[in-house]
Amino acid sequence: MHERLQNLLKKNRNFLNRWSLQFTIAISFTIVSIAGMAAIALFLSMRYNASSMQLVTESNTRIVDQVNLNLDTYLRNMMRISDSMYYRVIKNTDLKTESITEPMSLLYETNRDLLISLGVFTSNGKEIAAEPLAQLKKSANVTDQDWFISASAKTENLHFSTPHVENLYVDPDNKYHWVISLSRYVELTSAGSITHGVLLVDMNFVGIEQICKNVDLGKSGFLYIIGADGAIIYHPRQELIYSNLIRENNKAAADYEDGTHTEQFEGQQRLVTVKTVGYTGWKIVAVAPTEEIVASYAQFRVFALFFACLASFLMIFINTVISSRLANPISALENSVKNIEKGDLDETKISVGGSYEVTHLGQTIRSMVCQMRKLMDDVVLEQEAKRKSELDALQSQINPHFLYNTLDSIVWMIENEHYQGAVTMVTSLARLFRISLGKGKNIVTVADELEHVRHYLTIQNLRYKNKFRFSIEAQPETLGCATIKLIVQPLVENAIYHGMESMDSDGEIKIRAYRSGADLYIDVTDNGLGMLQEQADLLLSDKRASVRSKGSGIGLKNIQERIQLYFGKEYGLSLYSEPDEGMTARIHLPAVLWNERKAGEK
Amino acid sequence: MTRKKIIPFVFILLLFIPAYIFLNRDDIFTPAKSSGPYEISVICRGKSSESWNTVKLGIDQAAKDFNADVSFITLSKNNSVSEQISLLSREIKNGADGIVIAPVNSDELKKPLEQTAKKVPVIAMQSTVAGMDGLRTVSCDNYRMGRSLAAELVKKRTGEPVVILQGSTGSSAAAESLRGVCDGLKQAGRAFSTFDMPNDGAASYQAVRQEISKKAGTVFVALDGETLETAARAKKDLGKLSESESPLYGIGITNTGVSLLEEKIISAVAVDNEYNIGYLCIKSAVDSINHQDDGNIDVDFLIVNHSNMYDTESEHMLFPFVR
Repeated sequence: MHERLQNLLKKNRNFLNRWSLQFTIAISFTIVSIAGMAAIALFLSMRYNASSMQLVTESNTRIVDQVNLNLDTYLRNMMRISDSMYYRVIKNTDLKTESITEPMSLLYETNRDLLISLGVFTSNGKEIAAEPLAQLKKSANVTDQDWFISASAKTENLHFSTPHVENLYVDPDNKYHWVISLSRYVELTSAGSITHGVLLVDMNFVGIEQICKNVDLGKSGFLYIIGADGAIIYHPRQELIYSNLIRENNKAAADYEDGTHTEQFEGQQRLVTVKTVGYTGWKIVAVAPTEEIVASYAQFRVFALFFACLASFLMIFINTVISSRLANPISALENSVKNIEKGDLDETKISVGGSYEVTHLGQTIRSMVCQMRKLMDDVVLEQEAKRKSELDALQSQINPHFLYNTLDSIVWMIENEHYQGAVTMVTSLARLFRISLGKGKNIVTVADELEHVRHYLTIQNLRYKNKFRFSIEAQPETLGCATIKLIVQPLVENAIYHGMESMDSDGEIKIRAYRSGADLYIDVTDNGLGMLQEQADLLLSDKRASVRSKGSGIGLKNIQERIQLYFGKEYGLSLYSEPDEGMTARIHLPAVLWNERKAGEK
Repeated sequence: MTRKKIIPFVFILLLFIPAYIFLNRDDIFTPAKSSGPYEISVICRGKSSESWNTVKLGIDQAAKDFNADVSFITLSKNNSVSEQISLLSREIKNGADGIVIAPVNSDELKKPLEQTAKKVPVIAMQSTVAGMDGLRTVSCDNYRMGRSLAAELVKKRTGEPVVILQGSTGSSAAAESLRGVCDGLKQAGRAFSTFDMPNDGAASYQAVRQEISKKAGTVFVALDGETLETAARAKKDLGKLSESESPLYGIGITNTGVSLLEEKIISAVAVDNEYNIGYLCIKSAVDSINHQDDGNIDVDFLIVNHSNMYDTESEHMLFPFVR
């Protein structure tokens, strides 16, 4: 798992590496800011939704509580009328001797706005008194009426019916009234004996309607009242329900506990607040379609989305500006570096700008380019020095004095019929030139260099008529090592001109090549006049840089420079001398095989 | 960042301003309500608006629900085709968006109705014009209602002759009801005759009274509410207060008719749901204006007698719950 995660991160890193810095910064910041905005918008809209629901729930609960209070007051008024009729009129009247019509009429008149009718019936349905209409319909069957049955069945309670058409009394105008009947079991006194009967109070439905109709539950919200069994008592669109044009979820609502519920009815989600009315068992049901609540939520959500988009857009803009301010100087610097790669070392063209770090980087690159140019100039100078020294070395091969003297010696030998000597000299001269000109190489093997010196010494020895002896020794492991061409011969030349010329025949020149660790040494030792060591040291110092020997014309300094140009400052030429003891010129080189060096150069 | 890149950014930023103004409009988030108000004219077939009371209640409720402005027009004379024709053109001229009409069953009305239907939606209420296709109707199945009433009659009354009292309703509904009653009686093998009621109210009363008094032991069937009420009053006035004396059956009922039913002067009555008819006519008209085709709408009917008239279903149909 960890490995997979790491692989994923690595892939992402690689993916990011493919993009430009500006794009990476802009896209990263934008993604982060948009994600942040989206999270904030989501959180806010969820909170808004929850609080909207909460507000609607609280508001509906308050309204339902208020309706409950009003309805309770209304029903208690009705019950008070019933109580007044029963306890003040019926209980105090002996029906045998007195009539209850007058007090009943008085009670009706007092409450006529609330009532449709009042009636008292015996247990077998016979009318005792009624207001305002007294004549029972022929077809009226009082004992079969629901209110009568309920009152007779539960004698201790007051009973509220569902709305129905009052159908007991003859109305000459043929009007009909929807009423709610409040009935109760009563005890009737007649000639001192107690009989049973039922008191009916028919409440005008308008009273309940007035309590409910002005309730404000939003544009689509409404409130209805159901009985304990779910039968509709009041509904703002009651006739439509009675005509089966619309339906209501009243049967389900009858099972709801008091409180707020969410229900789905006919494809509509609704927030339903239920409150049970005391005593009657009726339930007040407030309905608020969630679509309406959600409409304001949708508005908020769209605005949240709008501002999130606006903020994201501004973020993108700001991110693009910032990333461009960050990346553009880097990009310019990158272009400058590309130009440097192409060889344009003009430091003034290097972009320096942007943030502190990038400015510093630009300045550093500018300084680096300066340094680089200086180094390259140095290299050029060095190369020029090399070429010059090589040219000088080459010039030594065409030293006219040497050539003239050698040819003169050859002529002299031929004239004196000293042919063998002439042949040897010509042969050596030829080989000398072949080696020194050979293939234009500057690095040669020690063997080749020593061979060159040998021919030179052979020629000089013949010219100087064996005034000196010479010996060349070389450890076999040195022969394959690399050396610079024509660095031994000038030393030998010096030894001859400065050491041997003044000697008769006991001059000696020893050439020895040997290795010491990783170093290669070639010593040229003569037993000539020598000089003070201080003088010898001066020969290699800068003060004598232009000193040339009168022999070959190639200075020791030239040898020293050439060695150091090719192999470094730690190598070079050193002179050891004492007056009358002779001199040793020591070439110090790294012990590198010629083959290896050539391979390295390739 | 170059000016070239900044300009599109600024341009998009400016687009947010009209977007904000658009979103700030109130009507964006309120659920789309039916527009309106719709001007709808309801043209009756008779001169008495009382007999249309229940229908009108349904119409008024629908007008509230569907944001319609309804003109309820009665005729100066019952079943006047010419008046209906002139009212059609007048209402169209007055800018009605839809017409609901209880048409007189007359060929003369066909052409004007067809022409009107080309301009605005036309809904036929309770009846239609025989042989006219494509006229949307909101009505109960009058033929079936007639047959149901006949079945009720046949069940309760055996062997008595039947006289069908024909009022001059001139509606296809009455014709269909008559056909249903006749077919039902024929099927039961009952003999029946028809009696044409005069147009005039007083004459109609006298005629039916005479007919009832003349034909004792006959069952009478009235095919519309007004005829039924007239016959019932005549019967009552003749002192025939029991159900078994000149039993009276009918189709359609008035408020007085309900009382007479309760008094058993009327034995049974077939009633259609007039409140629904009124409501659905306006709904259908509004739907048609909004190019929604509801097709023909069939409403329910009920056979009511004095014993079931206070049953919940009958109660709801006979006594519209109107405050």
